[in-house]
Amino acid sequence: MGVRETSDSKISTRTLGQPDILKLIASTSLLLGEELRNEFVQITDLIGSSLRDSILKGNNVHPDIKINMVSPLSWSSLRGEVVCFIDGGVGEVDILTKRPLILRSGIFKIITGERDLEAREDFLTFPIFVGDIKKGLKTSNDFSNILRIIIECLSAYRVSIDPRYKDVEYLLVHGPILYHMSAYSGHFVGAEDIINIWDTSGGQDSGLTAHQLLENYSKFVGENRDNPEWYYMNGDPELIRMPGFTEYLMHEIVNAPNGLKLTGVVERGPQTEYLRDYIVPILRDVAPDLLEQIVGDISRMSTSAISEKLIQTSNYNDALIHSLTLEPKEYTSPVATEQRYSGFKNDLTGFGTVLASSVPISYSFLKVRNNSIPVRVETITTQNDYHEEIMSRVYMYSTLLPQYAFPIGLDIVDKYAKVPDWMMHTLKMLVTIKMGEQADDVEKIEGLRKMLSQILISKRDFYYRPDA
Amino acid sequence: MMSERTHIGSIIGLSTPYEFTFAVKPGTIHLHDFVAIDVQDSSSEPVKRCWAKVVKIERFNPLLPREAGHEIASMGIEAIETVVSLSREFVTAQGQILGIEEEKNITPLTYPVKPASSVYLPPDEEVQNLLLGDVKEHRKLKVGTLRGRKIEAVLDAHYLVSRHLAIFAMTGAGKSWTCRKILEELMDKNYPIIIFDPHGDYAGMVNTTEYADRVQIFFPIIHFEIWDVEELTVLLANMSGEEITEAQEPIFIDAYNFVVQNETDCDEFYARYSRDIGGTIYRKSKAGFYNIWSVYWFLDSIIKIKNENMDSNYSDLVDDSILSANKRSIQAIMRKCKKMGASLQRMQGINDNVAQQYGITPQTLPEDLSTLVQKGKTNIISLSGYSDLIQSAILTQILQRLLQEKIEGKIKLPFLSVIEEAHNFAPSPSEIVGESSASLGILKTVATEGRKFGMGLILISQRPSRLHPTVSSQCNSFIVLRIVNPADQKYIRDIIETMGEHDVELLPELAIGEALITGQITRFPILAKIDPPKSKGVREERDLIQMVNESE
Repeated sequence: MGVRETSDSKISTRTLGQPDILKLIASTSLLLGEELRNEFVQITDLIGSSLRDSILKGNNVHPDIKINMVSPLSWSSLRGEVVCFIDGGVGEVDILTKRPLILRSGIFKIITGERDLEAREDFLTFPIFVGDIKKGLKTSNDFSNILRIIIECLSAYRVSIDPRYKDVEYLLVHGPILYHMSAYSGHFVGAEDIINIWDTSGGQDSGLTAHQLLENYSKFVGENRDNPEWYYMNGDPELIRMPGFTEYLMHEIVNAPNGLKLTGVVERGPQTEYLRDYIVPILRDVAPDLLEQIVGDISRMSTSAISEKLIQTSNYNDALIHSLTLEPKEYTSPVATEQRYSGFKNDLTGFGTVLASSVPISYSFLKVRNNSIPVRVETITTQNDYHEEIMSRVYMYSTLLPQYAFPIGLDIVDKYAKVPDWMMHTLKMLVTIKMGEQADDVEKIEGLRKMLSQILISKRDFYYRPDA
Repeated sequence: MMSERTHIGSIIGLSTPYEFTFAVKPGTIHLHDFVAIDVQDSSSEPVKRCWAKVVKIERFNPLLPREAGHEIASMGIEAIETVVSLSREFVTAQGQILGIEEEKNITPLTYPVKPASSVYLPPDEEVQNLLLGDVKEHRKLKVGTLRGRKIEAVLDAHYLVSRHLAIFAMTGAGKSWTCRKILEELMDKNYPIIIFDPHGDYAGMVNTTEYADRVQIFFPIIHFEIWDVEELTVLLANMSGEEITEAQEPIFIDAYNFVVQNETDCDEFYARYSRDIGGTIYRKSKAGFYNIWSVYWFLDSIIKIKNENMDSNYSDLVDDSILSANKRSIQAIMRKCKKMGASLQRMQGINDNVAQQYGITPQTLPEDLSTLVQKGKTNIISLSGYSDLIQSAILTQILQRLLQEKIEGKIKLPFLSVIEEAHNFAPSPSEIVGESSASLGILKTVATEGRKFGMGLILISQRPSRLHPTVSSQCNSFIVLRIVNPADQKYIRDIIETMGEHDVELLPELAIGEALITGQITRFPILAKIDPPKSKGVREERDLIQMVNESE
């Protein structure tokens, strides 16, 4: 007796084999109008198949986009490789405000396959109080994010210059490395704050003092850049522009003598950049009928208008689309992120061009496991010769977390550098006391704050303490 | 040897006057280590030392997700080959407080130790002093070392010989090894010892140079005449494997009483029988064991008398119940006696073989049992080959007489009795099928009353849950080696007050020769590795495969 045909049988085996992703698409269909709802899963599946087919054949408007397979590697073949994982994060205190009060960064260095535990691993972590930062657009919602990026970027820079990390080949960051973009054009930090952060993190142990760091930055600006205004707010050397400073740090990291291969691995998010720039043009080219089933008549619409309507109607994003187009171990060829520099206005107009060419960033998507949503991997465009080996390593590190399908080293550093509950609890207590007794005994509160700072900086948890 | 204090952790979380939890520097402590904390009631008070024992250790790598572990396992590789972190571990331990050191005494803690206090390993010498307390030199028995440390495990000999000791362990875990070590130490102190050895485990002591002249091995013969005849009837039924009917029972009882007790009538009977029938019958052909054959031959002669219709010639000597008994009933009793006699002879043969293995000339027990108790002497009563029933009977006879003579003052010195396979001699009520075990009564008596008369016991068992609770509860000290059986673990937890949950959890994990020692023989419960005894056990594990291959 034959199997009775159901509507599911019209959906490809590849999609059916990814229940979580199928569930995601099916749940989105519930938000759609009745006329589209019943067919949405099948249309989405067909879009995935058409895109994959077209990309594999290269017969579309972006024939340079490829689907590649990670090189087969074994752990024994990676033995002896030194890799660093960096994660910056925030700690929130649920009191009056949801704004983060502590920022932290962690560095986890490991020699792959090393059996001597003393030599194998190296941890470094440090917290920064937002309250200790003097300058910057503190009222901006982006402010803590700006500080996190600065701290994370300084940590990566530290890896590029500190003899402690001289043998590191691969540097993986938790999140994007696209720091120097126009979205942050108005942000700046105080030179005094840079000094504070560098000193707090023990940056001087790298052999470079905070003052030397700022001098080198000034020298870089003087030698290489026409307009100091792009790097210093109002030309004031005490106010350092965030995009300019991160560009400098990235430039130094990428050009460091140890040839660090810098990579950012971004967890699945709602980004639609790739969808707008590449997917919609390809779909318009190879499967306009499928596109029209979702957005209607596209003959008179611009590509960006189609993208807008597609995203609005279908909730598609880069990660979801790549879930349907990629098989496990596959990744897309890297594409540039030029548009992220286009937002600089007025006096900063030329700055975007400089940033895009200084340390250009590319990104691609990697699918680790059958039912995992692909991760976005950001790399330095000038290091694209190493792209394949970087992707292979991101894949290998991610296989150890099959559910999460994310590099385990980044998960480790995330846990290690996590602001522990007791620290946040103490901070909450401190803030409460401060609010209640502010007028009475400021000196006492200040003493407590300093004491806590010392604990946070020097001891942390007994087991998670930084190495001496 | 650790000569200085070593700081190994800090107290975290909740602490009580009984226990505390502490974060530990990885790799610095082991289960059952003795640790200390300095405590001070107030700044004006002197700093005192609080002692504790490590009863639990937990180790956790928070940076190794479970799914990564599973993935690595399924890949068939080692975690160290990858990039997972293996260097950062939480080690948390639980300390059970022993008390505060004041002078040489340990007093209970009445206020919890301070959180964040430093926990340290005191120097070995100080731990040794803690364990010894004020035990006098002549009472020290050195039986081994604390597990993982170079600290001597020393027991108090006085409490060992006077308050009864139980040694529990599964087969092959080192019971006899441990007991021999203790006995050798006691022999060095000239303490009189009597060992009831059902399997020849102690026969090797005779051939150990250091003890050869101080150890004697005996091969006892059962003396039926001191038995109550009703008990003997039960023995006859058990050993022959046949039920004794109501008609048969008086025949056996009367015949037995006649043979064993009526010397004058017996002599007359034999004379008259010889004259009438012209035959020979056997009376006590070999002392003790062969009394049962005397009953057999006596009844055989009765059958012949009945066949000759000469019953009336013997009515003045022999009870009418025998003379008028049905021949088939008499023959049934004869058959049972024959089986029992043959069985006893076979057992005796096995016992003789054990003696031959060790080149020992078998000696029967002396008539005067008080001579078994002598300063510096150890006497082994070999019970190899005998069935449980007979072993039980022999032990009963000997212990009863020893107790009697001790009470009467004929035995002057205190002495120690070692009972191997104690669960067979003093079985728990659930283990007794039908009639009560013969030796249970005397063991209960010695366990409860013996201390007053200087009769100490070492009870050894591989199935402690089958040991009678009245007997085991009289033991004030315990040495427990590896135990896997859950029923035995539960029993041990129930009867040993000083044995905590954590200790019981440890029992299945103990290595051979490792023992938890608790009770009056040690100031605090300790986990020790028992030193090897000088003597060899007859049943020590041999490589049987090799033995076969090396044979011709």
